[in-house]
Amino acid sequence: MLIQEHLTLREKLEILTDAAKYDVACTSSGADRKGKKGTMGSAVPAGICHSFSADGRCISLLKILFTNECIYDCRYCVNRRSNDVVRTSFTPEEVCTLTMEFYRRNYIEGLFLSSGILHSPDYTMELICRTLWKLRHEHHFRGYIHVKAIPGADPALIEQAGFLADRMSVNLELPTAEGLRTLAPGKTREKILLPMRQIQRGIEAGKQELIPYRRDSAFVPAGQSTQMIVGATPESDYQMLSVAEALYQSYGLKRVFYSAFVRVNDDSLLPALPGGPPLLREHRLYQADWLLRYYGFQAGELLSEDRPNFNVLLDPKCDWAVRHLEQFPVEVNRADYYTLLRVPGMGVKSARRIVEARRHAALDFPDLKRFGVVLKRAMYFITCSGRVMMPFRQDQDAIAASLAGEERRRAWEIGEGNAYRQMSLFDDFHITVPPTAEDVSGAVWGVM
Amino acid sequence: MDVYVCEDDFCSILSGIYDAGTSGRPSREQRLELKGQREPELFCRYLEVQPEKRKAESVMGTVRERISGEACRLLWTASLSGDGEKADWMYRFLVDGFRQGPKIVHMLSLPSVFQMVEYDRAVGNEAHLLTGFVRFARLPEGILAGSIGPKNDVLAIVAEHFEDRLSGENWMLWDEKRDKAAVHQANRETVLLRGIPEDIRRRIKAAGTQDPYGDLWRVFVHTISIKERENRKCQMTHLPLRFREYMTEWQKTPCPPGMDMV
Repeated sequence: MLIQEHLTLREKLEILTDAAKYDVACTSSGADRKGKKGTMGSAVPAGICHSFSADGRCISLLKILFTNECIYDCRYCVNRRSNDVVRTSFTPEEVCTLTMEFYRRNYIEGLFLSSGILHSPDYTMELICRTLWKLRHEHHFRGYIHVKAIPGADPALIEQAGFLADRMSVNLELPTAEGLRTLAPGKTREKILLPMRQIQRGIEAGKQELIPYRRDSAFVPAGQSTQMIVGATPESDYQMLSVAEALYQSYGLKRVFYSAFVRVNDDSLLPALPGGPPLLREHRLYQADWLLRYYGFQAGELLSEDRPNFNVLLDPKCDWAVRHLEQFPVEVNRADYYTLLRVPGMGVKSARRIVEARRHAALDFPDLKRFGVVLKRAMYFITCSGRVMMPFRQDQDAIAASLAGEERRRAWEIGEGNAYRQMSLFDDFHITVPPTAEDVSGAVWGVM
Repeated sequence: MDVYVCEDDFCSILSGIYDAGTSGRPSREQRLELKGQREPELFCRYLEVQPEKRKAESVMGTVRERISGEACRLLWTASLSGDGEKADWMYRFLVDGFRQGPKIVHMLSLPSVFQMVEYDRAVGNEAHLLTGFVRFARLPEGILAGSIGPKNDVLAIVAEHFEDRLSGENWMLWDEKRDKAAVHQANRETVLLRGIPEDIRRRIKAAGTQDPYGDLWRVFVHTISIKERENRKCQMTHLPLRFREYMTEWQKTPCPPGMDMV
């Protein structure tokens, strides 16, 4: 291992940013805190994006590792013990200076501090806590802080961090215990779920208090999140989504993030990805995740054991709607809010606008267009005052084909063919077998 | 057709609405225009609006009384919009509003109401984006200075955000297109100024490249991107070019090899 002393702040920043970039979460949402005299910073509930990097991801927080030294040897991780990379650590003071100076210039919304495991989980967590304490109490920082809970660290340290941070996260990394065993030999499922449960209990306990006795020190006010790697192990989309659903329901998580696997290490146990990271799969999982959180869908409705993976050509909502044509079309002027939400091409905003506006006037298709409804998707599933927008063929294949035609332009990867119709050798591949002599004679003589 | 020509500010537009409303002519024979936005037409009588505080207050008072506070807020945000047609839409909105009463703000299928809600959305969105995209740079005197060039006149909204967030700092934010600035002195109220001296403008523009933390920030933005996932189109959607010229990470500096593309 290469441990370099005397690196400049700039070099350290470069190394420890590079090591932190595979963590996808960079949101600054969920905390609501006004500024205060004598301190610097505030937090807004919706979060604020400050920039966008070349991969199109939002930059909201100063996302760095405290150190990239690590005692573990997780096969997918760029900082694994056996990798030969330059190792370095920040000091707590350096992290504070960077955060304060970046924040002052409005580069960032706050700090996202993660870390490799230096010496032991307790030692690392203690360093993180000390940094956060300094930032909050010596530098009077009131902006957003997202911090990782290190699995295996003392619960007292995790609790301390929870009172200093806005959001905490523990990465689940792989959706099944089996995958974790193969790729992350130092970690177990139980070890990861333990701090997650502790944070959940802490958040719930805070909510039970009738009058918070110190208004400024809520426990993890922006909730906790986690991350799963997509495509490093052979789990299906159905498994991933079911795990996510379980996390939302029984662990009260705010967000589950999905990270398309990037092959940073050459390891025989990792899948080769000739087509690059599975970005489309990640995209579909995020789409489905939204359906779970905001549209009242359940994992079992979108996928099943028989259909464990998402359709490449259709987004999960269109796919669901095409398979449930018996529930459509819905009448826009009468259907309730939750039914409207299930129509492809309608979102939370447009459904709200419809519900608000139809109390005063019957709506027609041009109105919907102005409200932001994507009619080229919604037209197959709605009527306005009993009329459809234009005549179309009312069957699954025709609708799926026209939806996919539009989706295809946006999907950057095209996989399988027509999912709703049994493929036919003769129609699809234009195989024509020349008639045999018997057929010809049979046709002539009328004998079969 | 009578055309009331007003200036691009709240008071002037409301005075125009007052003049149109008290002329006694039907609304379909009257129109509001911003000065210099449209070619003069034949068969129109052009009337210059004299902006008066009295008229504006009278209109706002009536709106609050007969429509709602929400309608007042919509009028204010619409007046911040950069759209040239806004004065006439505000007038149409009030014509419909006085007819319908408080429920008008929910009648989105009326074109005038929808347009007002659109203005509100556009102004609010741009202000929200700018709360993230504004970049300050430390001038040698220790003042943080930043510049913006928004489509809508959102300086006041953005400045309010920073007044709360950076209350203990000395900062100024300059709207290059409208030549206005919000200036904040530590722990005081923010003031809005019009007309910034040329030498200060030049120094604000140059500050981003001289601040040592600007360099660290460029390193960070460059490094955080994952090469295998590169997607310039997605970046462009979220961060359009019109914002970039004011942002530290896109400013051209003599930088080390390999660092020229963020």
